[in-house]
Amino acid sequence: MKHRGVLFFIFSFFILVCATTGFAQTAPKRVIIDTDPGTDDAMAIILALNSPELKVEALTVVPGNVDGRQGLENALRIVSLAGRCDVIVAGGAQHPLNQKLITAQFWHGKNGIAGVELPPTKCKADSRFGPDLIIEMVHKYPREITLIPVGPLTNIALAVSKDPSIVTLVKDIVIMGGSITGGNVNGAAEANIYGDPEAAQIVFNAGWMVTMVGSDVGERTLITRKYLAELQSSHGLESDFIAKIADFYLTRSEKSGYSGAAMYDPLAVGIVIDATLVTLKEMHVDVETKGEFTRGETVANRMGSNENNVLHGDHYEIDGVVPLTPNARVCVASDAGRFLQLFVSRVKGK
Amino acid sequence: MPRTFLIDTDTASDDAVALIMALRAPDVRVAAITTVAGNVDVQQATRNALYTAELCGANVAVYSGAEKPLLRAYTNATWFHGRDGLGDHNYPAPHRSHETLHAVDAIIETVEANRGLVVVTLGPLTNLALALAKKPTIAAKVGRCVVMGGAPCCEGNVTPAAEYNIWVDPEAARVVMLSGLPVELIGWQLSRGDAVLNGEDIGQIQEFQTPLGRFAVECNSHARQAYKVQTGEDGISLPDPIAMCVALDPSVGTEWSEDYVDVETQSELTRGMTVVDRLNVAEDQRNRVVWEPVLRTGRKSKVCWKIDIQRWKETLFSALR
Repeated sequence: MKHRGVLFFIFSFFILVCATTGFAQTAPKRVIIDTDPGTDDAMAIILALNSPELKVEALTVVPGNVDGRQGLENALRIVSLAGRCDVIVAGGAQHPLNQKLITAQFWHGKNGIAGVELPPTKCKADSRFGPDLIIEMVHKYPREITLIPVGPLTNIALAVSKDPSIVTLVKDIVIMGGSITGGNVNGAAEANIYGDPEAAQIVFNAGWMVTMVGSDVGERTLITRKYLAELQSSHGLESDFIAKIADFYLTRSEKSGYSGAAMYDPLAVGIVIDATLVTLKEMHVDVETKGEFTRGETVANRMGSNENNVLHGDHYEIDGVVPLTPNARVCVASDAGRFLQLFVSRVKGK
Repeated sequence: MPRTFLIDTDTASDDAVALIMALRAPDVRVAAITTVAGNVDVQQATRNALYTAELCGANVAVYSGAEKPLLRAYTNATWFHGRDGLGDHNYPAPHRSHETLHAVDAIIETVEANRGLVVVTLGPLTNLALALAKKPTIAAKVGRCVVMGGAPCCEGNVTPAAEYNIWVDPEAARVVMLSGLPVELIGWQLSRGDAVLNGEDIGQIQEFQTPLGRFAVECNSHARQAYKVQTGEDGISLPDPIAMCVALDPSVGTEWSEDYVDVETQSELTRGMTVVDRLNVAEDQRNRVVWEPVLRTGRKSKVCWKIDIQRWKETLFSALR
């Protein structure tokens, strides 16, 4: 009896230790990547597929860098190359809500993946509509799914418009998009938000806490020739593909005067793997949908309040400040070196 | 062969009368009623639609849809229709409940199963916009899309520029207008003036002594008062039933034009304005860039400017008799 009691105690203690020291955390996080693949999307997808911390439940495709049809084909070929036909790949919206589609072959090559001709896919597209698939998965795994949208937010906006209950049922939403210090499309806007500002405004104001990886941080997280050489030093299906893409993307970026290629989408996946790679600051973020110069800008309030202006006769007077509830954890800095080491090692992983 | 209708509605007092007209029309089969947040929240709209269908003895499927506009803050119109949308007369809860399928999917399935379907929208266009985002191809399969909404070339009922259904979700309205759907726009102005049911008309309906007639007048009691405050006109103004009347018989619309129509989403002053290219200048050099999204659809909307008042009222009376 005594012996069994001790065993029971040890066993209970073991469970308790496991539960409190992160045994639960080692269970991979279920993620859905909503993507417009896209060179850096391809990098992000391979990073996710090769990371044991994540279980990629699905890729949902949105028009952006390329149109929806090309994007779906790219996504299918990428998962096929990785030998991961178990990952659900579904198409989604065919065009942004109100904005006309803007594709980015200029940055991503004719087919969106640097002109690399991947072998025909062995995987099949799921027939479900991307936003519906997101709704279904979030309900299937309540508080377990982390959404990682790395394209325009059309699909996410459609999902949350149709079923607002997913807002409280997702574990997290980590967006690549926006910027709080100027855009990459023009002075104001980042491409994913600019590509569908109305959808972005829906998503930022849906009631969840969005984690925002902006282009400004992506542009301080550069893949350079040094890391490319590391990628090229060993060979494999996936690392060869990513090396080719990175080379194209890097050359394109260098031609435009940058010292490296911005790891926009991969960084969003990176922080789901390891949140300590970045510094986050809570803010309230709105998306400008109307401005002539600022359409698609993510307007971040860094003070946590707005002045309250009250009408006094013919003019307003400031009557104190109104606190704002933050709706975003905005990424303000990244540990670029540590992230790129992680990226390179994971891509070379297999 | 009866014609097949799908009705999307934010069911409040005038919607209810429109539903009665469709459900009582002998040559019309209402395949689905889909509900949307608008005049009242979507749960209330669904209850009201079910209750109205029950009054008509109709077993039509009702599907519940979007809970709020796409990106604007939701604003209801209970100041006009009453808290329950039906004038607050404590109507009992309906016996049936709505289907489990989402309204957006019901729209897609109903369109695909019924080529040439007549879609009639009586509320904000959120559901239809979401359906079009999911399946853009449905636009080409719809026979007619009769939209109660907008205030072409005149003042609206929410702002000097805009009518409620378009104003409350202008982004959704814009999706619909640019989708290629064969839109027939039945603006709010058509339900004013002589189209308003005056005391004599209302008396005539009451003389029918039918449950539907009584309900139609009673559930609009709150709306009648609100309309007086809003416009100074006395009587019951019925925008949705007029749209339904035109859906049932297009010849009730006696003056039409075919024009490019866009919806203002960028301005606060004119938010939700239905901008109608009356003079055919959208294709002019100076307008081409701004109007390109509409021009690209190659689809002009049919805008109704005048209705046959007598036939509108007769059609209504025969539905309530």
